[in-house]
Amino acid sequence: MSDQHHKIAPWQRQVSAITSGFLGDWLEQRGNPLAVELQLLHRGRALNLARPQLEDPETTLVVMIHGLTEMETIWDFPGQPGVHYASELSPLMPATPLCLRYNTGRPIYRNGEELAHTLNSLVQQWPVPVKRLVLIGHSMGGLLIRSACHYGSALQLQWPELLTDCLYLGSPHDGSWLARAAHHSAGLLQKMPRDYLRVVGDFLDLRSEGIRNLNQGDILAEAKAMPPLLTSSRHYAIAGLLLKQPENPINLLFGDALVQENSARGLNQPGWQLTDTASFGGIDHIRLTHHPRVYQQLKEWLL
Amino acid sequence: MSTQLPVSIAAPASAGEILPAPVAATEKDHRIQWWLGFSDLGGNTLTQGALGIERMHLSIADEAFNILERIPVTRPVSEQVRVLHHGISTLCYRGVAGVGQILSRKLGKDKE
Repeated sequence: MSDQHHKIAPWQRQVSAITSGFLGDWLEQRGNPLAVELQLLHRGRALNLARPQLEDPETTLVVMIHGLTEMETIWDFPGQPGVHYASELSPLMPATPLCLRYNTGRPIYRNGEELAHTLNSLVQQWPVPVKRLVLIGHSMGGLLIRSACHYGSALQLQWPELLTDCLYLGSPHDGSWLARAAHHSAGLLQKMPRDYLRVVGDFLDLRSEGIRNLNQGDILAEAKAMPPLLTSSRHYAIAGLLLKQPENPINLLFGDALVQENSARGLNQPGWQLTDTASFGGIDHIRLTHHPRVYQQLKEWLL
Repeated sequence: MSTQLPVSIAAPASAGEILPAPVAATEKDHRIQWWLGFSDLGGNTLTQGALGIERMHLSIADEAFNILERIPVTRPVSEQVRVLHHGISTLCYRGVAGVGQILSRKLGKDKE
């Protein structure tokens, strides 16, 4: 697996992550080097999946998966590079912490398929037998987990049997209000009689398939398909809320700013049985990735 | 499935081009590849942006020219002015779009 994104400056990696989020499928189609490759990282370095080499590999793996336009550094606690939920949980479990980096502009189902195969290679090539796998996903990362679970189980891969816990942090299982607003605004503007309004609609419409998938939380190639959760694993959902008072209308309308609480809990998903859920008032969408209260909750669920 | 550039504002010949796949390279080469990719994106953004702003500019200008068309005093010359205005504007915007297109094409070739 290539490590080319480590050979450029951090700000360049950030630019690649953002442009990949907005135009990732187009960049990939053009073979543009800005398109981020799907990679698993351990302590900031890309893992060679053919022969993972690291000190003290554990039998439990905790993989964290970021969201749209993000990169693995989103998980770091402020001012503490390399310190994140998985790195803190690892000595307690004990486990090896891993992070995924991927092109968030690709359709979720394509990333899901690739992740399913990547996780399979990981557990097969891991230096010691893997006994437990934990996946933590933020925002789109949670949808990616569900997509990978679907393909992993459909293809009868090895890793779904080892997957004990899936944790979804602010994941728009029923879609994001902002993605829907952009979709509807673009459609409305493109129908306007004035060309200058249609131009604005056309620019709004310049967004990746990954972003489009967030309209309804599509995770499979077939639109609006709602595959069930893996029954062999525990599933936890965490929702953020902008304000501390849960009943505040702002929270009901905007949730954590990008994802509403009901969507984060997948209330419209048929037959869902989440093991547990938690909502955190005063924690917005981004801070869900690195907040002590969220960490305490993860610790409570996983240990 | 891929991001579709809107037909109405997307037109550069380079938009559908497939850039050569990055090859295994040194650290310096990776940096160069990144900058080529960035410039490719910049060139396309310039092209799409110029064409989009051209459409916006001309359609807003049409609103004003349509009003001038209805005023008896300005009616005789409004159409000529509109043609002149649109011609000069189009030339300028297409020039900028062309620069973006050349930039993308050149960088595409350089990557080979």
